[in-house]
Amino acid sequence: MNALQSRVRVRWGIVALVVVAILGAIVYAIDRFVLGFSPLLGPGVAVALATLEVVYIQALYRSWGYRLDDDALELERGVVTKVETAVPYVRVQHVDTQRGPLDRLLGLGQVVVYTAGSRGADVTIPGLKPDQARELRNRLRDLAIESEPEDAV
Amino acid sequence: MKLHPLSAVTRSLQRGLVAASFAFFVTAIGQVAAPELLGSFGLIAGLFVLLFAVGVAYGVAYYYRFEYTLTPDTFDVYSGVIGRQEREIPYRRIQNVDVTESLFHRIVGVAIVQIETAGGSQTEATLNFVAADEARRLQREIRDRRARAREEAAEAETAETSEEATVEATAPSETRHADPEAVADRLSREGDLQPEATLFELGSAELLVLALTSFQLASVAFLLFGFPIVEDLLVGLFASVTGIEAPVDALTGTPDLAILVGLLAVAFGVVTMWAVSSVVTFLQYYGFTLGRQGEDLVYERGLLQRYSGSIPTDKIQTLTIQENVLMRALGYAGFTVETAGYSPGQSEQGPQSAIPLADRERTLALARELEPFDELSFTRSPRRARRRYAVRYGLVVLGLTALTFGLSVAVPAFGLWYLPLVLLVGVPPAAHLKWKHRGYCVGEDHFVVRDGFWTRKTRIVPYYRLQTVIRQRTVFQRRLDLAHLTADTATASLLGRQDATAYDIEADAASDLYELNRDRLQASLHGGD
Repeated sequence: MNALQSRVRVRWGIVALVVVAILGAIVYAIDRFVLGFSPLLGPGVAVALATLEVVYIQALYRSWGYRLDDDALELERGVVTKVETAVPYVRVQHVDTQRGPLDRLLGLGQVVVYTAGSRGADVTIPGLKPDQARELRNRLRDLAIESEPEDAV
Repeated sequence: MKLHPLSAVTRSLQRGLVAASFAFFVTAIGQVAAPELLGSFGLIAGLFVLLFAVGVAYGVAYYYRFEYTLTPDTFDVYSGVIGRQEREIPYRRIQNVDVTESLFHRIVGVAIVQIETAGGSQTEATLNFVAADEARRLQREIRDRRARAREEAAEAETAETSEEATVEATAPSETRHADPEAVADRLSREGDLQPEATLFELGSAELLVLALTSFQLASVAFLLFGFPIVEDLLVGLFASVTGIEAPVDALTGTPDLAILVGLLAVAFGVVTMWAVSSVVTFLQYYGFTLGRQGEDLVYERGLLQRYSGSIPTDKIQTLTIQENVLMRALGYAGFTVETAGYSPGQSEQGPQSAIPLADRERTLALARELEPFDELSFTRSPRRARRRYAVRYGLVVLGLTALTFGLSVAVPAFGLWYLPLVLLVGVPPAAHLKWKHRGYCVGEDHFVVRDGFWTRKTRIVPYYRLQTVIRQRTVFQRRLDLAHLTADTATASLLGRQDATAYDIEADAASDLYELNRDRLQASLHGGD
């Protein structure tokens, strides 16, 4: 299994921090206007959540892995619920690389693989280097063509 | 070709009225913004007429700007009044052709035709509406042309493979049909396809059983809106006949009484819902027939509104055998087939009922005609899964009790907080039944899973239709060495429908199945089965 770029933890961390900050602010506001318990409640909750977040992101990063098998792209991820997905190359409809602003800032990219399935219809591999993402996309495209689907449904 | 001329009339009336109703909206806003300007009746009337005319003009223009053609390879639709859209749908990619006739349509003799392909977020082509004969002709014509296109492709394929002298890489969807014998067989009856042969007809006894045993969710909505009205009517009627005001307030005087009355109301609601869905089902499946024409299944159903659809047998993704408690008790079952044509949200037609109801043996035999699956013998989840369900249900009951206890503290004169505890008696049987009806079966060509007590669904997934294979384990499952395994296919993911998932099976078995499904898919693709 290939691991993701370790920088992806920073990306996840930033997103999580924003969420934690918002939640902290909400708790602070509730405390201020309704509960009147202590002004430290909001920051306290935020710090606790942030700590949890750090642990969770570390665990998530460790759990992530992808591999190009001879018949399928294999993914493995999840902390609470471990999920393994196999996407046979024959079933690949198209492959994208995506780079959001945060990704570009951190020099990351992600690959999205689309199938016609109902559940695993789009599979995302985050936290790759840009050229790594491009390479993976091209590789997946070639593998999808090689496996020669006439009608990938 | 154009739509039925009458469609211009109905559409312009429709659009005209919609546009004209906008006049009231505008005047309502105007009233608030500038009351002195909009005093005159003439202005409103003028606006009304103007907008109506615009709507009518749009409706008429739509008719003149809409055209469809059957070309040798594609079905073309040119449409759009202002923004033009030219769409060409290759016959080979068409999944379903549906014909719908509402009561009005049937009186006038017209029908709506809908053409579905895989992918896309909505119906790919809608002809609203054409003459009923034309609709049937289109359905037949598209079917024939698709069959011909497929034959040509298969021919090219066999020519190619014989040149290469290898038997590899026939197209996935064609694997079963592209073997030389089948092609020769089909070429021999090239062009003129067999006349429609009836596979199944829903008898009146079966229709009654179906109506009485089905429980449609749609009736919940009906009940939600209809119940208050009906209730008021009943109470009003009671009062006017007997002269006694129904003591509604007295009934809900204390919380305890309210709970008991509520329970009674729920029971009453369930019975009503059942009655409503019986009627709805009866109307929907009245005169159901399933026929075979070439490679396609053609069904027709409905009393007031008639539906007719075609299901290409070689595009079947999964086949689901459905039996609810009552059907099981009476020895009946039905099955639906799923193609990739419908998109999420089209719950009305989504999975198509191939056989709504027949006795179990017959259903299995008919299902096997479409997907020749082996004898089904299910492997159940290990017993510790059953314990898991019991714990889960127990926690739900305890949670509910905690909630009612909290309520009883907050609300005075509410003493029946322990009522939910009665449900604890039901936990062990419920867990057992859930466990008992879950299972999976690994067939030669199919992966089969089964789930559900109230409505047991047996999903039959051919290996060559697999899209992705997913194995997942939550923290609790890991502790018990259990896992879920999902074999995903390209069926439209309708709201509230699950995939073919084997729940809570041994973790090792799940790993094996994970590999096995992938191997079998590869094997079926390369004709190595």
